[in-house]
Amino acid sequence: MAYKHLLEIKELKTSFSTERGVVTAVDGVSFHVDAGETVGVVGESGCGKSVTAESILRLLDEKKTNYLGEICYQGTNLLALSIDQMQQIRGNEISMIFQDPMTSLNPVFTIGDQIAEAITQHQKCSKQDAFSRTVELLRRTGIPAPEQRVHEYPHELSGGMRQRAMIAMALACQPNLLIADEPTTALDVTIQAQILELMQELKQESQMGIILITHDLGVVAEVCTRVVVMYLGQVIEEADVETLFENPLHPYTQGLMKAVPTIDGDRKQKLHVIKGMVPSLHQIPQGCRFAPRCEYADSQCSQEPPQLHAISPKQKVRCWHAAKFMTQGEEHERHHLD
Amino acid sequence: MKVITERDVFSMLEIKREHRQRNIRRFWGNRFAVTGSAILLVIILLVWIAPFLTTYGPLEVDPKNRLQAPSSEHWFGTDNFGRDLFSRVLYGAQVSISVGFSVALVASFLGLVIGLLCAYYAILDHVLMRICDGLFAFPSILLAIAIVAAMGPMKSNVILALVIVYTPSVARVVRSVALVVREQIYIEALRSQGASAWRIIWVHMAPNSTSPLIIQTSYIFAASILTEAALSFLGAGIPAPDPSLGNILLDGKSVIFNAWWMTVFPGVFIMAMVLGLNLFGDGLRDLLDPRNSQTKK
Repeated sequence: MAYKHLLEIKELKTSFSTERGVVTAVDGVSFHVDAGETVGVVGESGCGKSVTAESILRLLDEKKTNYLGEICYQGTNLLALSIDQMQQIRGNEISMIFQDPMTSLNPVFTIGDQIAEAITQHQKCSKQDAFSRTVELLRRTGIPAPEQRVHEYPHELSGGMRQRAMIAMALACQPNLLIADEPTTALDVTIQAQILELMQELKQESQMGIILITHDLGVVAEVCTRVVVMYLGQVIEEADVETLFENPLHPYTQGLMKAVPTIDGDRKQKLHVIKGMVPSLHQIPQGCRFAPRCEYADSQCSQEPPQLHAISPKQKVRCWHAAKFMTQGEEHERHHLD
Repeated sequence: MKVITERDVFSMLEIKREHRQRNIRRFWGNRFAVTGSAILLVIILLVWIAPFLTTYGPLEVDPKNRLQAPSSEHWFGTDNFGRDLFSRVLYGAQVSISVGFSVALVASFLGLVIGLLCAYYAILDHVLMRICDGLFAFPSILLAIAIVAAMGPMKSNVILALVIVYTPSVARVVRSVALVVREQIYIEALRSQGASAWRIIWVHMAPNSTSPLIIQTSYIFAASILTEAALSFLGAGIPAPDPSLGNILLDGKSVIFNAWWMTVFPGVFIMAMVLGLNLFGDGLRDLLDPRNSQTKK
């Protein structure tokens, strides 16, 4: 193997030129995904998770978007490829599932037509072959009576079924990397669990890598092997899942964990909130980007931006005071592992 | 593994049939659509069987029987050359319908292509939409007269002129819908699967952008019948002696106080055709609007 990781993002900087000037939505993001691994990307709305995902497939309007850095897929830099070469990668090598299964299928075609189209897009095969493979894919994703379902239109299927159809479509060409952009956010809890389980099963069968974008820490704990926490376009903490849940080092990660309601918690106690809102990308704080909302911030935090540094082999964090929280780790463990 | 049984197939067919029946019922329940299509059907039928209804040709001159009032011999009377007005009006209506239909068809097709391309390619959008703005700035009749005057009054030139006049408005409508469709997640999902721009535009965006086009087509049909009549009335349309509703009106203008039938009958025909098409268009608009649909999901 000539390459180290299936996908390696190095110092990715995605900026948009808007009427109000250049806005950098993703600012120096680096992380990697290996085959057979599920990497969670976590953060509030507007922190650059989806833009990172769309940058990998270069789905953003290229006239208004400027990429810097590298996105290496099996050693090739995707950002340097031509549009035609990129079309060969999309769907075939890397595919994507979207948040809302209600709107991510074309309403005027049957799901069978759409999945078969995804197959014939990249592989030469007869219509009948494509069709029988479609039925097989739908069966693999757990859709009952796939022989009939292939002939149905998206509006005839429930949300869970549609998301299964989307997964079938994304897996049609056996990609090596699957990007799932909040795949379960629009679904109810029982269906969520089924879809996550399905993704895990399919991952084990084919050894593909998955990037799971979510704001749901429960989902992360369940399926991810490694987690990347993002805030305002930057990675602020990266760790494998056990380490992160045992010992979250960045105050923002700690806040996210405290904000998860527990079923056996004290009902009178108010849920923890991280004060304030994600600032606009037009007014990025000078020092640490989280400083204005951070309860531990001091003058250093508001003036000098911290770097992402490894605090242990399994954990990287972007915080001046990370070492201090390291010692508090045990206390957090008692609080947040139930 | 489940095998499709005969019963499953049967029940699927049953559902399809029910859907069709419900759509037919909805059509009959829509007064506009029913009235409009009834008027149109009657006119088309009349025009179609015109050769059997009248023994006079539209160009047969009979100077002895000039300006006869409507009678059992000449149902709509005769004109100032003694030609049978009934046959001239029917043949004129035929010309109107064929002009209107061709214009509606060609303008819709071109408008669809231009609208979709504009919605997808921003640079092309700037260029083509400025051209459209320019065309919009002219009053449509003036523009049509200019084009026909430049190329000579012939039926095909009239059609061409009207296509140039009406294509921009179709392109505008299609573009506005296609701009919305382009931002739908399923288009992004298609791109994430590696679909080419060509495929996205023609296979996926086109069918999702056509429902306002169908309505627009029926209005353009009506508008081009009116504009063709106006052009012929002004002498810039179908050249005499071929009948057209517009040039019959022109002939009738000079004798309007002696021969009311020469203006009333072609006038009524124009009105009926335009009314029928507009009612039909309104009906279609209501029927195709998913918010009015009973089959909500």
